[in-house]
Amino acid sequence: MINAVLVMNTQGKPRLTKFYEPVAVEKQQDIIRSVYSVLSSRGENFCSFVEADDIFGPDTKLVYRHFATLYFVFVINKAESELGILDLIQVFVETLDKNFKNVCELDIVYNFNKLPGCWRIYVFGGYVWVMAQ
Amino acid sequence: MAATMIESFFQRSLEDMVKGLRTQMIGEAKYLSKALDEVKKEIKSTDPNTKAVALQKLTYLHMLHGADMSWAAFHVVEVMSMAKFSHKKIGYLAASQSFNEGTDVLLLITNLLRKDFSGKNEYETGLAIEALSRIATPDLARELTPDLFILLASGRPFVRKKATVALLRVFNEYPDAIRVAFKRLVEKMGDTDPAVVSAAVSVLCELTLKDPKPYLPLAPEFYKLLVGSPSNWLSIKLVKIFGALAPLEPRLGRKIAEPLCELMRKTGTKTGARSLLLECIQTVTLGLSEHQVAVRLCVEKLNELMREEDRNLKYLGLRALANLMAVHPWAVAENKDVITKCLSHEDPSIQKGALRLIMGMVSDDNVIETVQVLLQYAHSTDSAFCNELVSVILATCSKDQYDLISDFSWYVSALAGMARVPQCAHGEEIGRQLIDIGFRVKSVTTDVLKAARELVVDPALLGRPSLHGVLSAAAWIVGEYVAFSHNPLELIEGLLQPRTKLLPASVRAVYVQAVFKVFVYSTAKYAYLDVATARMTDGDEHLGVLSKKQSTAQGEVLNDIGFSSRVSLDHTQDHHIDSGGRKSDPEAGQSSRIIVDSAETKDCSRELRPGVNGLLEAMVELIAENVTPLVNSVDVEVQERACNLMGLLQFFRDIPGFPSSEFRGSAQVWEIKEMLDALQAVFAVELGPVSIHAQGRVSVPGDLTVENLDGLGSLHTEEVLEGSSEREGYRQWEEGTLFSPHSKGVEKSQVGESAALLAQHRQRHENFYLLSDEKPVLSSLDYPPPRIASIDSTGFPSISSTEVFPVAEHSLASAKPRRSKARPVVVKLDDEEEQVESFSKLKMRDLKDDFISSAIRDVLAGEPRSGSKYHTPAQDFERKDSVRVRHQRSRTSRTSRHSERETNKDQASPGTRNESGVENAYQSSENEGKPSTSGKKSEHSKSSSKVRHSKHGRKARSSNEDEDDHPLARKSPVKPRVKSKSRRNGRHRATSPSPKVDNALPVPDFLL
Repeated sequence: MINAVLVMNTQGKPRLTKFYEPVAVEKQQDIIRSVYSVLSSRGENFCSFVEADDIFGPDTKLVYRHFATLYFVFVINKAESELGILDLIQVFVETLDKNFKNVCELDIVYNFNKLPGCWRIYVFGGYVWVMAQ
Repeated sequence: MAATMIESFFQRSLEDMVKGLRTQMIGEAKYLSKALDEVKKEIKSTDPNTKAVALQKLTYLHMLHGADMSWAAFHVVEVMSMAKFSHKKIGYLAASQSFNEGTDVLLLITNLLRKDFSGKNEYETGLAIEALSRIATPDLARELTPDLFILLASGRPFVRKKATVALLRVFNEYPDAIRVAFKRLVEKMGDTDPAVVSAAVSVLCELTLKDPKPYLPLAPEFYKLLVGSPSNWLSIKLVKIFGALAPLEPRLGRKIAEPLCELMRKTGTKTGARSLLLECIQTVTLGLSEHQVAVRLCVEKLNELMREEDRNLKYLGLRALANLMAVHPWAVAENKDVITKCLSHEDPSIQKGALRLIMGMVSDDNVIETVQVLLQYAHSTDSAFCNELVSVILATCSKDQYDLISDFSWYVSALAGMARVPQCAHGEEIGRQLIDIGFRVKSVTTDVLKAARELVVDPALLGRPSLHGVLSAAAWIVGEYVAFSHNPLELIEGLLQPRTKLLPASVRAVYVQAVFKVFVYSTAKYAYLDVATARMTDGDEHLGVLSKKQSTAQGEVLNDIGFSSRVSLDHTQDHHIDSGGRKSDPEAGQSSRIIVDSAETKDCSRELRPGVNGLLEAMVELIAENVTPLVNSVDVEVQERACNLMGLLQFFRDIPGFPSSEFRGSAQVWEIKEMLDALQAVFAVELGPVSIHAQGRVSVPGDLTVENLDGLGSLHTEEVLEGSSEREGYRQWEEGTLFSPHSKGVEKSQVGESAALLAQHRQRHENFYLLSDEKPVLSSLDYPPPRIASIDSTGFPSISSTEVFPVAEHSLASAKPRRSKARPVVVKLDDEEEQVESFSKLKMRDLKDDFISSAIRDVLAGEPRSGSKYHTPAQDFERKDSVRVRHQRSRTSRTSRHSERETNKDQASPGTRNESGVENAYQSSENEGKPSTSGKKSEHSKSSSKVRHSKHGRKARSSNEDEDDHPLARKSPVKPRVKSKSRRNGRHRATSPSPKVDNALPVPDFLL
């Protein structure tokens, strides 16, 4: 399943966070920071998967994509397909793009209350169920 | 009222707050705390709108800025219970965001959730289910399981799918719910709505991956779904499930190999379906490694994928290959070029994956080539990966006492090469291995010394702190094996070069000690040279008069002091044996050759003698100049050793003529002979690897009485390893032959040569020293019989408290027959395997997972037929199945949906089991398809259970069962449809022999 979805900018500021497991607030902030430090140290040509055992526990993995100023990060366990999640990120971003007409970071900042709605179309309770757009 | 309106009017919306945050001039932290204060005030408002907006802002602050919102839990509940949907939504979002097990108001929301579950608006229901799936606690889960159970049968797919997903969390929190709802979850795999099917499969996938075993009986269900799967996403999940199940049941592997291959062929390498392709590959590599066709196809596809530039494919491909490595090394070997290319990839995780594979492929045939390639990469890559490379090489090559290595000269030079890799940080380990090889592989001592010499002499290395470990080892080696050196002066120069002051004190101390050893050795050699020449001049000038012993001694001295005319090993060894009083080689030809050799040597010594003198003088000068300052070192170790060295030097300097040529041949040499002997003896003891059980083998002195240690006595005797009787045999044999390998040196007349000679002697006559464990020594009957050969430890006769030479020879001819080149002897201690032995790890299993697994086992085993049928799936797996029958059957199952409790009772009723013949066949076939409740009701409709129809069951039925009627009644209309399909699928043949045909009911006889 998907343990968490994080959208953050390249400065490490979170833009959308969604944890599908109960995580304490302080821990959430810790996680965001450590995820950011991992991602920011990775080059452009690195692969999109990072083992995240020390951040989220055993068998978890970060699957991320970098679009303009934003990182879209999914934390998944071994029941999800990495490439499938990459596709999902693509789909999600395309949806945002359609909704906001050429989406940029600011759209996400100012339309915070619309995001969970967009989001819920694809993922519910940590499961992906719609892959078609 | 007015106040509320004003409040509402002037309240900032979330957008306002976000905009404000972007434009604030007072600093973010200050702005946020101000906003939080504002929220705290507004949230107390009685106006629903104000309250909801305040909560929304708080949720935002919580989500993105980590603001605490546990204090607002009660407000969240209030907003959740608001009538308006938009408010409710805010409330539920806040709840799923912030509630956890510790939230005390959680008890208040049970009824609220229940009410929203049954609400008219399906989105409200959806919200409530989502909240439950995120915040369920054991209490909540227990209370709401019945309601969720009803929702699972809701007529609205939207609700059904959400309820299905929520089951996972409920199961996790409250495993008893499994007994109630698991069957319904399984039924959901046959739902008409693909999203519901997908949700059910997702949940089952999650559960299966945690602990696959209990879900094996569901394999046929999964199989049918996979064969008819409409979407890649669903297929991925199913393939994942099979990846977990297949290793448990080989027959299942056989069954799914074909569809998986089909999927792989079908998907090709198209971009869209790659995720599915890779999942298939992953599953094949994990669970189907027995199936040659599948593996072959898999490797082909992997090769295609990894040739592409996509880094993600490379990463996943490497991972899949790693799974295959143990069973199918050829798969890795075939992709070698692609893997090697990955070593130069930017991404460290790809590099590491490739490295792991490459090291996994290493065998004694290709180790040299592989290590050379890797070392090339090590020079060109960044420091982290470079060190990874070096450490992996070190670990792999030294595994099992250097089992992979047959050319140790090469390995020693490779070790030295690794130390020279610019970013190398593994000095300690390299040093350790150099010393270790020096101990264990006597035949390459010269190479070890050579490598150490190069390291010690090179001034560039001294400035690198990471190499201090290896330098310390090199210095020790130089001191220990100086007898093999051609040029001791060069060693001293290296050890005392100015840049050594960059070394830390601990390493410096080793350096000084090495200087001490080299100096003692050289002085003794020098003195003996002079003794020999002195005698020569005093006595008859004619060479023939010289005793053989003297002449060879002299020859060896020259050799050791470092001149080009090195005497052959045979020569010195023979000589040593002679001098030891054991005439083992009385060949006349050999003796005469020795004389010839010494004659040549004598000529050389005449020519080079001035050089010898200069050498010692230069050495003394160097030491005096460089070690004197160290006497005042702040480090005690360095200081003490320097003082020792200077003391010794002073002693020699007091001898008139030392170190010039007058010293040679003077009477003083004879006076200090005893002292030289003693000094040499100090270092003459040859060191070897020490067994970890060495201490245990030391026998307890008979008169030793220690109180309260009785328990340890038995422990101790156990530890004195099995096969001790054999060792005893060896000892007796050893005594019988009066041969004691360790009584060398001290009391013998040829003390000065002992170290070098002994090493050489040992190499030549190692059969007397070393005894093999498993492999018999085949060479000669004179040697101890193989049985005795398992000696691993022979203590020093003199130093009984340590086991310094526990050795076991490895008979290479029998061990590795395919090696073209004989592998040198590697000393092994018999108990080192134990060291490597992995300690069995106690797996601490999650208690909760155990509950879940056992509950599911109960649920699935609760059905006698499905359970018993499962135990004979072998035949079933071979048969073909029909996809369409599944659809038909799933419809049937839906028609028969009813209360869970009732089902359980049905299962328990003995009548169910006793049904026989046609009826039974039908049931079992139904159960194959649906190991859960499917078809149950139909079979037992006449049983009393129907009367006990629960409220829930009735509700569920009424909600979406349009085609519900008595399944038995429905049998005949269904029959022709299914039959026609099944015939096409070859099912007809399989079913025909059974009496089921009479019933005119096509039996879906696919497994279970």
